[in-house]
Amino acid sequence: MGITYKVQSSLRRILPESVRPYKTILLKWMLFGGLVRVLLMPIFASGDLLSISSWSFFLKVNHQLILSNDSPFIFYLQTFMYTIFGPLLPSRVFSDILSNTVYTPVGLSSLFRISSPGILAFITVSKIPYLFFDFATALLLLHLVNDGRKAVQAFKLWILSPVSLFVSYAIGQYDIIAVFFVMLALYFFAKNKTILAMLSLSVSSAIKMFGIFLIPPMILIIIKRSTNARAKAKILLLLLAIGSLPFILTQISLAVTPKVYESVNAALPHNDEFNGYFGKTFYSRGVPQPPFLQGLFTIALNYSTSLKTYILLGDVIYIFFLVYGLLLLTIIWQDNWPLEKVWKAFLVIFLAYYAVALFLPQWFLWAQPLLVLLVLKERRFLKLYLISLPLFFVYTWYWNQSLTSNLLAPAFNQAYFWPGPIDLMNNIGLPGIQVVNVFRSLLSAVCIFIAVVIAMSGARANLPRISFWRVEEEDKKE
Amino acid sequence: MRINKQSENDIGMKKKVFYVAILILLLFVVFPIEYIKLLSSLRSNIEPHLSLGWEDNSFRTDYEDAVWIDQDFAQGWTIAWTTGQENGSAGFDASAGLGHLYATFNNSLGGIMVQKSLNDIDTVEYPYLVIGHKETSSDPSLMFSFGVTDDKGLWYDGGWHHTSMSWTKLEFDLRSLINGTIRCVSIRLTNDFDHSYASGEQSAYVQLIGIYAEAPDWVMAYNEPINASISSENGTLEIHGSGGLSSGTIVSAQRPKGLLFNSSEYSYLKVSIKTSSINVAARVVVWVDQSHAYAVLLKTYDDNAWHTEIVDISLFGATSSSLYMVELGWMQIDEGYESTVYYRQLSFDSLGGY
Repeated sequence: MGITYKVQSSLRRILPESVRPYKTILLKWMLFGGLVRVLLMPIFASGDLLSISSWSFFLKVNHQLILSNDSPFIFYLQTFMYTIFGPLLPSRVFSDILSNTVYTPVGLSSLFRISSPGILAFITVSKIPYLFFDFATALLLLHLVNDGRKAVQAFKLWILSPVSLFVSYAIGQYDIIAVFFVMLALYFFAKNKTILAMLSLSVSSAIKMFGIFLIPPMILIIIKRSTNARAKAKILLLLLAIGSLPFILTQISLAVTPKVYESVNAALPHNDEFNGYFGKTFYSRGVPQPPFLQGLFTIALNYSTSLKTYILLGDVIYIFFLVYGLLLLTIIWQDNWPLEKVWKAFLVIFLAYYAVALFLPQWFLWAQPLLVLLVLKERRFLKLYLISLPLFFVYTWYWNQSLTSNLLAPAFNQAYFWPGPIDLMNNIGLPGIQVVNVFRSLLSAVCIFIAVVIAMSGARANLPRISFWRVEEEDKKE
Repeated sequence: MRINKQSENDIGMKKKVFYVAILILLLFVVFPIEYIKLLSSLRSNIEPHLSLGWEDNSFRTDYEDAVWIDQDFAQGWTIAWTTGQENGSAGFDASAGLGHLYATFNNSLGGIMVQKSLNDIDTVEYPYLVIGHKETSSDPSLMFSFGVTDDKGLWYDGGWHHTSMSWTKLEFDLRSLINGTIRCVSIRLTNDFDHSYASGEQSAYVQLIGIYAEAPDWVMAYNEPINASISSENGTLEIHGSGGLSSGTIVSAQRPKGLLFNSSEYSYLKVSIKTSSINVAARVVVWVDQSHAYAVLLKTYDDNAWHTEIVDISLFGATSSSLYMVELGWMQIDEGYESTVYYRQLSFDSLGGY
């Protein structure tokens, strides 16, 4: 009686009170969503997933970490998965990496890996953790929407999210794990557990660096809740310590794990593919820098649109940081920051980034649960959300076959040689890149529009606080 | 009555929990295991593999099939002439396996030539003459050379070559002099480059002279004055260098012949590499013609294990109907005293099976 009651009550606690009447519907949608995902898992894989899988397999077999731009967390996680499912997995899939065979270009190895017997099992096992974090994110959405009916709609919208399906199960990128921790941070924030919120956010940032942009706004918002300067300083130090904890742990894990010397072919151009050791120097994206800093600078600066002021000086204004700065000022300016305004602020950061900077397709997942919340909050955003989806998928064509036809290669090996959409457009006389760029511009327009509408509605709600407008308000009253 | 209802509820709850547990077991244990098992058993519909187009597993670095070779100079050598010499100021002797010819130079044309008769040798069949030599001076006025005499007694000059104070190989294709039979070979030391040269006595030492049918496939090249050598054993090419190795020093083995394959079709270069240290980078260069060279591999390794590299040379634009030259070598990254890089199983392959 005791145990069964406990099991039942803890199962109940997973679902918020407001959605319990809809549990049958939720279960059906969960099974449907699960089935779709499980079917998609073995069919698709990108070169990135195959690299992460092979390096994780190498870590499992040789207990050595291959340094890369990815967080070591994902390699430990996949190694754990391969250990759990080890007896069911074939051993010859990544024989090249274990036999000191290296391909130039690195992508050439994909062809040999996708045709290895049992590769589909490897791809599927690699994606199983995504399934867990995917559904956990859906569950958090249920907790973040108070209205039961709307929460169920949010759940359905997330289950059907084509961006989520594409990023996690077609490309096979692990951004869903970091996204889950962002949503968990919002959950803790809603429960007034700000320290846990901060910790969750920093875990997210340690997994995927993009989340680092959310830490300063969160710190500012939490500090605002303190009343005096002494308390503010104390909480600031605490938050900074918590914020840096996952990064410190990551560095410790890197320090204690033996690392393999993955050499780079220095005959290649020094571009994004130039990653590894040459001599005693580790190169990341062609630059001899520690991966952490290089990754951050690449994302924050190199990928951003910028305005140069005077041609003879290096004075440059980065558009993303301009918007980001405005948002931080807004947080400093306004006092009251309830949950809704927090996730809207996060959403504005992501949308601003997508609008003005080069973003890898998997990063678009970051805004998706927040867009779901937005659509549920205000129905009129549904149109914009739906418009953004096809525009995003055209944007992925920029990566030509690697994120389109090649994704099918594990299930249909010939797809490795199929042309991509840019090739097809070029073949029929259309300027492929320019066509994609037109749609990319439209995607930027949608992102800016949503961000501006959010910002304006937020500003309008705060207008009475500004003395100049207060006069107008008072005039209206009269 | 109430107790009965409560116990019925308890039984109902237990059943529910049991069914949920079964569902969870099926969903999260049985189904994943069976699904992964099924996926593990699926086979690919293609079998990509590299098909051999051209290969070198022997890495010949020496002349082979010698028709005549002299490595001790003890017999048969006679002085053909001396010029500008006084009694005893020029001569020839052999000791410790080296041939030694010397002459004195006193501000006028001077020198010595020695010769040896051979059994008839057809230069078409045996075209390669090799002389290993060094001199006591590398003054630019000194000249070391050779000559051959045909079956009609005509003498052919092998050209003028500067002297060297380190062991040097003078390699010559005799077909450029004569396509026919030779009966005598000569070597000489003179001041032909500058007759006013006056330095007293100078010597030339010869450790080997031979005529071969086969030239080596691989010849050495380097960009700094260091002690370098290439050799091969059991199908492994060894490229060695020592001395003051500064960053950027390059030593290579070049194969400029026998590359008659279409590198557009066989564009996958495959080779196994081993380096002596992390301070030296293995370097592979493909030449499509005399003036277009493409570095397709430059890599360091931190171990002494073999590494198989497969490089798509078309990625570097290094494709043509036939390659002009392949260069396997190394480049010094950090300063050092000695470096060695080993290569084996070089091939150019095509990708097939899809």
